[in-house]
Parts: sequence; structure tokens; C-alpha cells
Amino acid sequence: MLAKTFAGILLGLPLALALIAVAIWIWPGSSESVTLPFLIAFFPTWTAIMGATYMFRSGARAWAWLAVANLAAFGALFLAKHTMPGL
Amino acid sequence: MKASTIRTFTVVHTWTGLLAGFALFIAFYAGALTMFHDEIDTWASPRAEMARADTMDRVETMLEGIVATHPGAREQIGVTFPADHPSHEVAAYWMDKDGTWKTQTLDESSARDAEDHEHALADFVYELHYDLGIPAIGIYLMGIVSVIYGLALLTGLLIHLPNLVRELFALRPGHNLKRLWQDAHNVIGILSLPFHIIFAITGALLCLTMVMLMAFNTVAFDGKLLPAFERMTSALPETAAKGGSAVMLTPAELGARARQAALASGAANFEPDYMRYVHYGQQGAAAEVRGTSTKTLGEYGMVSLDATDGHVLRVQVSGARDANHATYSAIFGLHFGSFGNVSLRWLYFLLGLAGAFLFYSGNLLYIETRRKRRQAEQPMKVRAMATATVGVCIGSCFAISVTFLGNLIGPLFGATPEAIVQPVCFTAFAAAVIWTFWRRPAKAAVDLLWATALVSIGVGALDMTIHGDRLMRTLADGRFAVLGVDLVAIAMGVGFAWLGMATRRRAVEGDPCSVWSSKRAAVTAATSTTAQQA
Repeated sequence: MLAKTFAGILLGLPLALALIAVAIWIWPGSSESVTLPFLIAFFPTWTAIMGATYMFRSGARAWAWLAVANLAAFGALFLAKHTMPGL
Repeated sequence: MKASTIRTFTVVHTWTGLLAGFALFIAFYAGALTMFHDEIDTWASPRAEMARADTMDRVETMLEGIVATHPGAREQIGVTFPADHPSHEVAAYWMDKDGTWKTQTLDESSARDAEDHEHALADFVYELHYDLGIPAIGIYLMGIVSVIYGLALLTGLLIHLPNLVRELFALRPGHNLKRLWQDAHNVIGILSLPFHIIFAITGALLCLTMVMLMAFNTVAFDGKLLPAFERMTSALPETAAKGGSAVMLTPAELGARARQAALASGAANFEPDYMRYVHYGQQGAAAEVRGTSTKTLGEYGMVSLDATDGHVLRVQVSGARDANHATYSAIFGLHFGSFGNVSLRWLYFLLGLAGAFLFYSGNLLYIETRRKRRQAEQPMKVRAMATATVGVCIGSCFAISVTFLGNLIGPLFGATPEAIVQPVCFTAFAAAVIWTFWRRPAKAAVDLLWATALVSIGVGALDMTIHGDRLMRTLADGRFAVLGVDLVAIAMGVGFAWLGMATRRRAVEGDPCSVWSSKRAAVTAATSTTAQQA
């Protein structure tokens, strides 16, 4: 339980950040025009990830899956940064 | 959902609730009062009401004087309009070259540090709301509390989702007191859920926006977000000082032109309340006027103008703004309940008190769930939780009432209200917590509720007596703020007295096998027939 809690806090935070950032980067048209509405979603996204983390069967699985999700999200962010116009 | 998942979420809900509940109780109680910040401010300073309202006619002289002696102010200097706030103060704000914020009002002859002013009563209660009175780190602490609060809301909703409709209108009074508390907790939680979602999200944002922006700025946007944030939240385009000197249009003139531009763009109305110049007195100077409009979710709008010839540069007001400005304004509108009239503020006030009750009842449920039903002596964790709940929750209500009383009678003994509100509040709070330890929670709850009732009623009644002439004068003018604060203080005092009586009845007549029973020593028997009652 405690392992899941810390997975949600520590890995959920960068995951939420990367997901929101990717959404802003790949938004068609001007990314800047939707930046604030997307940033609002940051805390709810983090909270939802923390809640969903308790659905994993074990703490180890939670850490592993969230780590994979982080890698994927930051990979997507890296790609978006190099292919999209940005703010 | 599987039963084991619900059990897990129940544990998460319990712990997040306990972790954030105390801070949230104070934030909601003080926040509910802050819905009437301006009325409390008017009430708290009877002398300010007699003072002449500032006008904008001497403000250019002050601004010229400031930029002459503080070169940093040329870069950017802000001025408040004496709009609707009770102090009617016109003050300038700017950052000196060494990075400190300075301020100067029309009545002052020189600048002072903007950070070090002492709070009057209304501002102090507001500060308790957003940082519990803890300097510097309190606001970040409340930001973290808001995130935990969000998780508690989510898990609470998920636990009750399967029975949501069935239990929505269930309030079962009867022998099972825990059932009643659980029903009340659920009903209030579900009915005010939209309100709580708003506060969990906007509360976290208002406290942690800068931290969040800095993280996004570094990790995801390579330093381009912070300058973009400036564009997303202000109406000023990029400007540059072109040197030389220029005559600035006055704040009154710029305010009038901004209002004209806002109305032309479709805003229902526009009352300037703050403006700032950039590159004051130089070629290329610009100004941004902020004002409030009604009939919109986000009341704040901005118009930027050329500060020399007054032509409009950009308009970001209700009806003519982009998604970023609308969102930014809506965060404030939703959190401060400024998108409606006085009935909305009453609704926020009641929902705020209901929120405080929600956190209080959550703690009671923790205690009730872990109560030993066959013995008078309760486990350590139950006693500790009862002591903390009474000391912190009822203690903070008591401390705030005492602070109002201190503000009222302090001046009679030569003290300035601004200097005493904080020490009075913290002393009263500490006394309440010590009292709870000493008397045990069952008796202390009754004592503190009665004391809070007495002090609250005293606040209303004494103000009517001491400042009766002021009350009559404001009523004759058709202003009801002072009477309102007096009557609400008395009404809340009556409410606390009623809670005190109910708690006393519980302590004397209720199940003795409980931390809320005052008959601790008298009872030993698990066979006691009273154990089956209540």
C-alpha cells in the first residue's frame, strides 16, 4: 500500500507533467492559445494517476508500469519537441 | 468494483482525510468568513469610515515624485483605484532596483517596504484561510494540502459510487449514531461535490502555480513558458523604452478610456481597480488597466493602452478574450465566488461552513469506527484524535471569535488592531489546545463551544453598544455591512451554544463507553445496560 502510494506520488508527478506537456505540444494550431486550459488539468491528472495506482496488484507492479508509462510519455515529449513548432 | 478495491480506497480516504482535514477545517471556516472580507474590513475599523475617501486627483504628483527618487519604478509602477474596497486607499506599488517591493499611499510622504505591513482583522482572517498564519511556507503547505484533499475527494467518491443514488437522500436518525454521522458526511459530501472539486483544483493552482510553471518551464518548454505565461495572463504587448521623456496620461484618463474600450468590446460594465505603467515618463510607455465586469464567470479583465496618446493596444475583457485569459480569470472567479451577487456569496459562505463540518465529521467517524463498545477507557489513538479534533477545530473557531473581540475592545485600551490580531488569535488557539489536553476532549468540547458562543454573541452585542452611533449612521445611509457582521456574529454564537448544549447532553446522557462521555470514572461494566442505548 505504501509502495503504491509513493509510486503514485513520485512517478505520477512526472507522468502527469509529461502527459500535459505532450498534449500542449501536439495541439494542432497555436499551442500557446490552449496552454493555460491544459495546465489547469495538471493537478487533476496527477490526482487521477495517484488514485489509479491503487488498482495495481502489487507495489512492484505499480512502480514498473508507472516507470514504463513515464518513459513512453517523456519519449513522446522528446519527439514532439523536435518535430512540433511549440509555443 | 471489487470489495478489496473499495477497502483500499477507504483506507486512502481515511488517511488523506486525516492528513489534510485539520488544515482544511481552518481554511474552510476562515474562507467562509472571508466571503464577507469587505464587510468585516468595514466593521473592523470604525475610524476608517470617517476618513475622507481618496480620489485620483493627486496621484500624478505622487507618481512623479516616486519615479524621481526611485529609478526602478520607471520600469513598472502600479496604482490602485479607490474603487469599491472599504479603505478607499490609493497606493502605488513598484520594485526597486535591489529587487524589494515598495509601496506608498497618497497620505504618505515616503516609500515603505510593501511586505512588512501588519494585517488588519479581515486580511488576517483571509491569511489564515490561505496559509494558516504561517509565514513564507504556509501557502505551499496549503497547496500540498489541496492536492491531498483532491485525492480524498476522488477516493471518497469512488467508495460511495456503488451506493450513491440509494444513499443520496438517506439520513437515518436513530439508535445507531455512527450511521447518522456517516449519512450526514455522505450527503454533504455528495451534494457539495462540485464546490469541493472547484476548491481542490483552484486551491492547488492558487498556491502552487509558480512551482508548477517552473517545473513545466524547465522540463517541457526549455525556458519559453514563463515569458509566454506573461502574454497569456496580461493584456500588455511587448514594449520597449525608447528613451527621451514623455508626458503620461493620468490614471483617471487611462481608466476612462479603458472602460470605453471594454464596453465597446461587449463587457457588461468595467470598473477599473488597478493599473500599471511600464517605462513611465519615457517614449514608448504603455499602461494596462485592470477592472471588474459583472455577468461573467471571470470578473477581471484588462485593457492595455499607449500611455502617451491613449490609443488602445489590446483588450482582454469578458466577451472579447482568448481561452488563456478566460481560464485565468475563471480560476479566480470560481475560487472567490465573485461571479454573482450577494446571494452567491451567502451560498459560498454556507457551503464553506458545510465543508468545515465535512472534515469535522470525518474525524468523528474515525473515532466512532475505532470505539471500544464494551469499555469506558478508549484506545490511545481514539483519545488522541478526539483531543486533536476538539483542540484544533473548535479551538480555531474560538480563536477567531476571540480575535474579533480583541479587534473590538483592544482600541479601548490603546492598542492598534493591526498590532494585536495575530498575537491574540495565536494565544487564544494555544490556550484552547492546552485546555483540551487538560480537561479531556468530552468536557473541553462543551467548554470551548460555550466559550465560543459567549465570545461571538459578545462581539455582536458589544459592537452595537460601543459603536452604536456608527451603526445608526450606516443604517441611515442604507449600508448594512456593520449590522450584518453584528447579526451574523450573534447568530453564529447561538449556533455554537446549541452545539454546546447537544455536546453536553451527549457527555452526560450518552453511551459511557466513548471518548465523548464525561462519566469516565463511574463506568466499568461491559454489561451496563446503557451500552445498548445511544
